[in-house]
Amino acid sequence: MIALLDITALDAADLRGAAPMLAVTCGILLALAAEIVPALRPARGLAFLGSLVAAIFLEVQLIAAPAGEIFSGAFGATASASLFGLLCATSAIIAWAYSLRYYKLEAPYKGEHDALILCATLGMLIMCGALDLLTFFVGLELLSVPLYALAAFRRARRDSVEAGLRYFLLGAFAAGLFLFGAALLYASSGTLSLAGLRAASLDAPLALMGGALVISSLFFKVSVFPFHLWVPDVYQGSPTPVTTFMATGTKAAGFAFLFQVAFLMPAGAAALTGALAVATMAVGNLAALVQTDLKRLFAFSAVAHAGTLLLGVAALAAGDPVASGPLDAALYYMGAYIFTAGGAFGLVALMESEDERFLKLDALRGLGRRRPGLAAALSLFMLSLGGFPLTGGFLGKYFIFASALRADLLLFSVLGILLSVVALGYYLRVVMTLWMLPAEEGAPLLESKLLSGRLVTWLCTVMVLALGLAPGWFLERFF
Amino acid sequence: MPTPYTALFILLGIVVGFVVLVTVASNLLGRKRQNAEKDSPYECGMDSESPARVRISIHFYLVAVLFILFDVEALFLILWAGSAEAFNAAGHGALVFAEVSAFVAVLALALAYVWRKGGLEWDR
Amino acid sequence: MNLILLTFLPLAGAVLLLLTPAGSVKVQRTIALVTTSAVAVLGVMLFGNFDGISATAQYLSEAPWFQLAGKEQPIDVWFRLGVDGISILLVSLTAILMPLVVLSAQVHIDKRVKEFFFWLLLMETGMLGVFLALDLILFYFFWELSLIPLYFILGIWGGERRLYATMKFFLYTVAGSLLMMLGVIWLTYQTGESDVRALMTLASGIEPTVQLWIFASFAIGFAIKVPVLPFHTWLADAHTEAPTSGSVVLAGVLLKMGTYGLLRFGVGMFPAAALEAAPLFMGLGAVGICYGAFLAMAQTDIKRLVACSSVSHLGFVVMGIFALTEAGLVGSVLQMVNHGLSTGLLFLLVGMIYERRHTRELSQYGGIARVMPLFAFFFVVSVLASMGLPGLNGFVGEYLILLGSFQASPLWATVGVSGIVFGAVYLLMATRKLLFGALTVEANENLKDLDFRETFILVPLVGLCLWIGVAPNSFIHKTSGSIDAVMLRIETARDMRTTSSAFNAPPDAPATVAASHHEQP
Repeated sequence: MIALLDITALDAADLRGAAPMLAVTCGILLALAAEIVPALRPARGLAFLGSLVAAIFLEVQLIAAPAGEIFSGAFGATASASLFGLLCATSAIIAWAYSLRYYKLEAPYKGEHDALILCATLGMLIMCGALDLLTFFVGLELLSVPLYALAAFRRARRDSVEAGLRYFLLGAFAAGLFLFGAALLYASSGTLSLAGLRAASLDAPLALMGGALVISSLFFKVSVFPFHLWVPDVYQGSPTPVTTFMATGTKAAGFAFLFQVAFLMPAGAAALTGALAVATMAVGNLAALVQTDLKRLFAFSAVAHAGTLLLGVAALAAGDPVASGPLDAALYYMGAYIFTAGGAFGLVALMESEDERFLKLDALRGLGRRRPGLAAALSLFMLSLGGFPLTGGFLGKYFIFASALRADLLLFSVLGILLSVVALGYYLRVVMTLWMLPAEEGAPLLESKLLSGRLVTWLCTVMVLALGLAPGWFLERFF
Repeated sequence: MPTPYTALFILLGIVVGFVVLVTVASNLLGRKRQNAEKDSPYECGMDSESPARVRISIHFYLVAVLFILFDVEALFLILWAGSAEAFNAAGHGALVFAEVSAFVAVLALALAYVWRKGGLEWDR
Repeated sequence: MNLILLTFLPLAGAVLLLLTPAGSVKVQRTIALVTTSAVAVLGVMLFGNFDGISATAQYLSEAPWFQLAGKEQPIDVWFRLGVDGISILLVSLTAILMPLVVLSAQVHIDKRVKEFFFWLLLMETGMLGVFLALDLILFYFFWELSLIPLYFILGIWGGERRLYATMKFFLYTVAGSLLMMLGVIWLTYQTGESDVRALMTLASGIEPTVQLWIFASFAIGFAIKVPVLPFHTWLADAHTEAPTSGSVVLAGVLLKMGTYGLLRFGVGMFPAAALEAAPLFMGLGAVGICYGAFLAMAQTDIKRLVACSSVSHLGFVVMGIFALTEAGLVGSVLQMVNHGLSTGLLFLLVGMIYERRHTRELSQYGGIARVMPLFAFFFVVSVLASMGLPGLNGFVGEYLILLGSFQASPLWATVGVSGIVFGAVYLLMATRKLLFGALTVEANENLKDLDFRETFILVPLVGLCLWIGVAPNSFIHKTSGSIDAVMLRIETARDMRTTSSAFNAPPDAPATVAASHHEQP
């Protein structure tokens, strides 16, 4: 009955802050309605795209004029949350654009596919702004459950079903960790809101344990060592558009909240976080070196990138003298990553929808001669993933390492830099395969007719270059 | 450094230690005589007739999931019904009613979807 | 004169190239040649108009770019190009070399011509940008930009083991430049500035031990690029596998980026740290001179021989820079150009003979002078220039460097002098095996001498060698103002060192040292 005492009506700020989520919700409902009423089916794509574009538009409004804490402090429509949300919605659009010709056997269920992606996007938006462990959990489950289904979406294939099951089992385990951690935190402090937890003293073993469990479950979601073991199999087995979405959107949402709850880590955990970051980079980069399967290679590279972002969290924990430094760096990094990894995975999806052979690295041999545009875009994405100047990936990496250096994490920065040399080793192997090795006999060559794929590839290319060459434009508007 | 948890941790240690001890000791000390009879499944003296793992139709799960979904719906509705008067008193009655209606409408849409897709038909 | 035009004209040409249809090789060659020639004209004009007495950067073009997070206020990063006495010679060298490279690529680049010229032009933009950038971040951008084109040129048009060489080259240099990135981050953060001109004074205000670390991160990056001794192994492989035009650009310009960086960002920005590191680098340079010469003596592949001679010659440049004397610095700047000219010539000549015989084994040649007198003439001139014969360019540079080095360290200078002798040994040995003696191999009997195009490529370079050799002052004068400014900073640091012995101070005392650094402008 206590809750009834502070009944407040929805006010304009609540609605404004929740508007992007409401837009996505409308998209979900429309997508389902289209499955019920066949006459609506042609408008399916329009509903999907419309709701996400509306969400992005609303997020841009929110970045300019944040609505602040809404729903009695359960959700924070801050500028950074809105920017993370914007990135998640963009990632959904990118994944969707590459999925249009991807499914053959499952094509009749494309409507469900889109609805599930929208559900997961809604979950991400909630995660990005959650100011309360429970709100976050709602978002987390809204993200995870659709992704379990999406991972197993090609249900006629063993690897896809296996990916779904594996992701589900480990995801459920991580959710359990989170809930248990939240319960312990509640037991020791009597609150679940982040503001309350920040004010409470968290030195009791119970609270430390709770914090560690919550952080661990987040580490699982964003694939940090030693919770990364599911990544290669799940990324490889899932349909590639879903992998695209998982690698970019989930990571953005997970890190958005990880930055919010970094204070749960006890003092002195910065070194541990830094060490985990370097270990994650090492595991990802070294394992990626020996992969011959393109998706698996990108999966390990995604692990390595989680490590770089975690270095930003470590910088936050270690106390970067520029207070907004780590979060801004992570946002920029993530922004570049959405377009680079989105484009890279997306191009794999695009090629794969023409011919399954493209899953192997060797199938890319000589592609530079046969499909120069596609190969050039993929090469650019590789360079950006490797953090080469002129691309957004470089500045993201620069900002993260700058933040880490400011926070006195010199050792981890140097190790991280050396590991990114290793990373260039395999990114350049892809570039090498594209341009310097002769094509195999009977290599597939099909002209991609998928307009949406081409458009989004162009979008990603332009954004990667713009983020690398004109960072001022973005920094002024979004930071 | 005694904290309120020290006893707990000591107990934890004892429990784990005991389990390990008993398992290891029985493995080391016990005599092992294995034969076919001993390895066969025990079913109250009867001979077992069929494999233990039976495949259950997926429909059971589907129905179970749907049941939980609409069960939870009922839970929310009861909460609303119980506190509707208080909302009315606070002057938010209409708003909250609209919210609950939206909730029900979403669930109705979901039900329509399940129906349309044949999720409610038993033998298909 | 607009430096933005100079820098981005090649890029414009590269974009134009992309628009041409795949088959029209002639159009593509013309575009590449016209673009690089235009840049060469601009470069020569720049050289002519440049005022060498002044130490300030000239022809400044700048615009605000973006902001980095800083200590108290954000750091403004500017897009800023300008030329001073340290860069002017290298800019002109790059501009003049490139059209000749394009011309030389006519025969041996017969596949994927469009792509080749695209990368070549992109590389020119990158290299010019490296020399002209006056903002640290912008410099880093161009530094990395110049890497990618060579990666492709090596990897696509290279020899048999090109993939190995490409990867080795790339990973070596990238490892260096990424470590350098940490230095860039820390330097800009500590000083709140990324303007190279301002950093020249601000950098010496940083705590001395930190200065040493930043200097180390820069120095490793540049030393790998040069390459200084322990990092040299990528160079021989890269040169051996690269196509002729790639080798010429690599030896002629790209390696100079390393020595240029050592001079401007190593010595110029951190004179105090450079004083600490000078014995090490002089030693590495001197040992590199001899080691490179020994390596070259053992080679049977003539291109590999020239590549190893590069290690030897660049040892001179490094030794001269870290002699930290006026003569050493001037000699190094000049020697960078000299090495670009004479090694460029040698690579071009080796390429020309390779195009005829498709082998680079010395044993496959001998007595070529009889059938190719013109070739023999140019080869001998290049070898003599490379050896440092008085009257040709190499002499002036090496003499100045040794002069400067003797003032700093007689020991290493002596080692360096002996390197000249070894240089004469392998170069003359190679000349004899290649050009003189009996014409033993039958296939060599009908070799055609150099044609007009080839002669046209070689003449300007030989002319420049002669000009520098006879009238070096017209080049040295262009650099004097900037070298004086660097020397002033070195002397200030040297005085500081003797009075306060900054680097021997216990680690808890640096605050006072930093403060006293500040008072010295």
